[in-house]
Formats: sequence, C-alpha cells, structure tokens
Amino acid sequence: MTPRRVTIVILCWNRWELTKRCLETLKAHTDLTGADVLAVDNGSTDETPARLREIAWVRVVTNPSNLGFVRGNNAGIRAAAPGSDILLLNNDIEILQPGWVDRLREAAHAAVDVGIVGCRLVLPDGRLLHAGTFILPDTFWGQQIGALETDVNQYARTRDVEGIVFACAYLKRELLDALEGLSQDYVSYFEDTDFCLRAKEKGFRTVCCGAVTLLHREHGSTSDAPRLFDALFQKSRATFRRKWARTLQARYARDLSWQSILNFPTGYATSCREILRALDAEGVRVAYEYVYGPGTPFPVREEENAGDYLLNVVSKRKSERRPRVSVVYGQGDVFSRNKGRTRIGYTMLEVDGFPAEWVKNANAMDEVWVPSAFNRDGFVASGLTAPVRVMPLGVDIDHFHPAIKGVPSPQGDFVFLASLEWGERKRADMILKVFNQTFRRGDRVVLVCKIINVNKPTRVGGQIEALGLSSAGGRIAFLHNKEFPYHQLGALYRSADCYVSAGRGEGWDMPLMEAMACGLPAIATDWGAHTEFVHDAIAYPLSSRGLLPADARAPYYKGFRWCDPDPEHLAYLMRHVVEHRDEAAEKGRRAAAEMAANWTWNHAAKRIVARLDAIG
Amino acid sequence: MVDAAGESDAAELRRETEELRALVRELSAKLTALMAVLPLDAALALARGEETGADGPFRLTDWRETIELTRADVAAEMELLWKRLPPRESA
Repeated sequence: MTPRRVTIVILCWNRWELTKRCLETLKAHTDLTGADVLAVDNGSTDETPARLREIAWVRVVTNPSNLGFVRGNNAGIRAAAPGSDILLLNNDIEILQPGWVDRLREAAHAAVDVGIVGCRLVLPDGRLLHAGTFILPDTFWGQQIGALETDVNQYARTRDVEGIVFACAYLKRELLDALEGLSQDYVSYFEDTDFCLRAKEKGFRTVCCGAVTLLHREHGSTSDAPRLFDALFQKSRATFRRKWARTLQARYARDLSWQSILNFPTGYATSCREILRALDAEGVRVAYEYVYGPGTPFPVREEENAGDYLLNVVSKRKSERRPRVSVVYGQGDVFSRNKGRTRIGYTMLEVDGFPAEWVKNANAMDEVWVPSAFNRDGFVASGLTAPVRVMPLGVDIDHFHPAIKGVPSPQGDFVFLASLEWGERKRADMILKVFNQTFRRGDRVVLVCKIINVNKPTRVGGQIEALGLSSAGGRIAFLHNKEFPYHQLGALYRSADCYVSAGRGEGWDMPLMEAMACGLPAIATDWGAHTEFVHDAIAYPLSSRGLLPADARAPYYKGFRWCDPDPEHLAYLMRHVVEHRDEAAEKGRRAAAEMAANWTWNHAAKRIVARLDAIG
Repeated sequence: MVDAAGESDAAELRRETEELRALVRELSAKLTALMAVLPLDAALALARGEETGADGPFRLTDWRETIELTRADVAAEMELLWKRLPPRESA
C-alpha cells in the first residue's frame, strides 16, 4: 500500500536564518516524493517572504500579519493537500537524520488509534530537550520528559505519552477530521497539550517516536520578549486550567501514602524514585513522606529538592494524618513509623533471614511486601506471621536498553564490568583476583571495576594492593567513588561486554538488572533475591560452594547466612564468556528482551495497584 | 709538544667519546619515549631504577583515597579511563 502523503507545515515569522537552516537540513535529509512542504509566513517583515518565494519546492501561504502559533499553524493545516497527514515543524528545528518522515509516518500508522506522533528533540549542546510531556493537576505547568539530560539515546522506543511539544508533531488525517485544528482558545503555549487531551477524548493516542531525533534551537518567537512570553503563557495557562482541571484530576483513581527515602545515593532511594514515577503513571496519587531522620537508625534529615519536577510535587503533597493506606518502603526497623490505617511494610535483605526487631515490626503490619521469594522464605523462617506478598522491583527500560550509547574500549578489548560497594558482601576481592589470574596482561580483555566506599576507616587502595595482584595478569581499571547521574548509567553498562555480580547475597541487585536490560550478558551468583529474574537462558549463574555465616559490618546480618561464590567457577565463566562471545551476546539480547517484557517499573507499579485494589 | 703517537691516541679517544655521547643521546631518547607511554607509577619506578618487569606486583595509578563521592559524566570518565589503561603487552 502506498504510504499516505504528508504535508510538512513550517510556520515562519522573521528570523530568516533559522528558516533557511531548517529548509536546508530538511532538503538534505528528506525524501520528498511522498511529502509536500508548505511554509506559512506569519506576516514576516524581514527577508523571509522574498526568500521563500525563491524556493521552488516550497509552497507558501502568506498571512497578512502575525496571527500567533495557533492560527498560523491552522492556516497551514487548512491549506494542506486534501486527505494528507500533517507534520507541523517549527522553523528553529534542524533535521539530523534521513528517513525521519517515514519513521514518524510508520509510528502514526502502526495502529488505528495513534493520532499524534512526536519525537526526541535535542539541544545544540548535546543535551536532550524533549521525549514527550506531562502536566500535573497540582501545578498545571507542563513538563518535558528527559529535559536537559545528557543525551545517551534514552527514550529510543516508541511509547505512549500524555503530550508532545508541537515543534515537531505528526498529525494523522483521521484525527484532524475529528478535531479540526489547534484550539483558538490559545494564542501560543498549552495548545499542544490541549490538542493531545482533545485527541484522547476522541480515542486517539499520542506517542513519542524515539527513533527520530531532531535538533531544536528552541528560539521561540517570544524568547526575545520575556514580558510578552509571560503574558501569553499565564493567559494560556489559565485557559488550560479552566478547560482541563477536572479531566487531569480524574486521572488519579486512588490515593496512597508512601513513606520512604528519596534524596540519598542508596538503593532504596533510587528504587523509590522509580516506583513513585511508575505509580503516578498508573493513576495513583502518591503523597511522599521521608521515613527516616532523627530518632531512626538513619538520623539524617532529607533535602527537600529531589532534582525532579514530578518527585518534588509528590513530596509536597500533604497526606492525611491517618491515610487510608500507607506503605513504608525501607528497612524493617522503621515499619513502626507507618501512619496508615492499613499498614504495609515493604523491605528486603541480603541474607537468609530477618532480624528479630524487623520481624516484630513486620508482624504489626497488615501486610508485608518483599521483592523476592528468597526474602519471603527468609522472613517466614524468621517468624513472620503477617501476610506476606512477593512484589518484585523493576527497571527503567527507557534509560537502560541496548541502544544506549556507551564508550567502548577504543582498542576493541573485551570489557568486564563490576559495579559495587566495597565491603565483605560484594566480593570485589575475589572478582579482582580471579580476573587478574585468569587472564594475562597481553590478552585483549579488561576489567572495569566501579567501586564506591564511604566508610572512612577503610583504605580501599591499600586493600587492593594487598591482594597481591600481578602486573602480568589481566588488566584492571578502576572508577573510584564516581557518582554518575542515574540517567547516564546505561552508558556505563554499554561501555562493557559482560557484567559481573559475584556477591554473597542480594536484596534485589538493581545494577545487575540494569546491565541485563542494556543487553549485557551477566555472570551472577546463583543465590539471593536476584534469582527472581536471573536464569541460565539469559545469564551465567555462578555456583556457590555453600552457605557461610554472614560476617560483616551490617548489624542486620548477625546470626544469618549468605553464600560462598565459587572462584573457580567464576574463572571458568569469565574465560567461557570471552571465548564464546556470540553465545554471550545472544544471552544479553535475550536478557534485554525479557527485562522489557516482564520487569519494567510499570510492571512493578501494576502489581502494586492490583494489590491495593485487592486490599480494597 | 705532543708526539704523533700521542696525537693519534687523543684523536681515538675523542672519536670514542663522541660515539659514547651519541649512544647516550640515543638511549636517552629511547628512554624518554618509553617513559612517555608507561603508566605513571612504572615511569617513576623506572626513573628510580626499581624493578618494572611485567611480572611485578600490581600497583594502583591515579588513585586518591577518599570517602567523598565525585559527580562525573560517564562519557568523560570512560574516555579518561581508556587513556589511563596500562598498555597491553605480550607477557
């Protein structure tokens, strides 16, 4: 079937140099056999009208004066070839890749209910600007997803979003027939979100096509006139609020109090942030409250700024003094701070049992959640009598996927990666020694070991040198106490060829799951919570020689056991992976597919919502 | 007065001196080039006349003992890491 014709509508108002660059890059990267280009001159007073008339392949519609973004674009939509789809394009956009129109069109026609397609927009300095939008009824201030993150090719898939900015918007004809053009309730701003919400009411979805990336100079027509911008923005915002407040508030089907930790570099905090985002997307209006602080085992106060718009809004919501349901997500010794009428404690631990105080607190809960059967069994064996549910965690497949841009070895060396906290549990000593002894310096193999140590008495460098490694053995490079922005971590994994997690026990192991979601084959100890998602079709389970007393600084481990990963098996697996790279790569591909199919944060949030529904 | 035999010996000595100087210059240039590609610790050890053989003990380079976390970008750190990586040698 012949692809539907598309009319590319470019709204121009002065700034000819921007329009010129837009058209040049469009011409260079676009097959125009199935597309028409229509420039709408919105009453420009510079050379724009004359220059546009000189370009034979551009049809020009001239408005007598600046009608604003909405009416200007509507003039273009009306003048488009009958029956064609419309692609609205700002004149401060530059095209970076061939095939972009085809990809947008394919995304639009992939399903009958897709009505609007946007794309990734990047800034000239290499940062991501947009991968869709959302707007919260708490503030009515639209937010661009991914804005100002370093671009590592995150959000590369096509996914449903609440809205997109109309700097680039592919609009399907069926939707235009149902909605006509942009709402003239607005002059500029909010008209794009308004259009997406109106489309949703008519049964059309909005998607962001991650396979298309355009450069946006974001030189809006009001960016040189802040007063004009503010006046237009606030007027449009008031109009938008009047029209959509009820609809946006209705997106939340339930309320939930969530007591946890957000703004620290800990596993609970990192996973908490993801859970809150996913719950919001699932229609849960979460009110977050810090569960630690003075009087708790972690007496530090939490910073208010989460560095994230949605999380800041969620943190500022006031929950009731005694909310109907509250979840404490953290260590079992803070379960007693749960303030809900229905009280849920959600925790995990890296050993085969739980401390008596945790069990006592957990038995005072209406329900206990743990991410793994490993922890469920350990809790029950330790005396838990409250109802317990396995509620697995997840992974963000927009930031952890195989197409994330890494920085692989420029020499083409095979790279193992271990990312761990220095200490007894993670067995960094074993990983370093086994690697160093298994390979020779002349081998085209490297181990990159990312180490975090915040324990003052521990001299990591001295301990590494005391391991007796040989400079003739496998080469090792260290990343010591480097704190990478979470959105960039996929680039670390994609700089390696195999991930190694050879610890004695895990409560979940998010880095392992992230590496697997990035398509890395992983060597992972075959004992602990992560056996929930690791198996030999998608990874290399590492044998244990048995269980040992969990001797470590952590007081919670006392009296329990963890496993003893087998160094000989680790050496065998490392050698095997290097010698069977195709097999390993295939396992990595399968791992990424399985993480995306079953283990996203959306899956985790859906399980939570289903459980909350069951609780009533 | 210097006799002919003495002059001949002196000329020979001057020639040998020049040859040795040239050899020293050549070795020095080779050493400089070698040290430029060696990791810092190995270069320092070489300068100190210590053992630098490929089967010596593993020494950390560019290590700063700290419990502070440093914010960093992945791409920049990885590029730095690859530059610092000890060269592959036939062991």
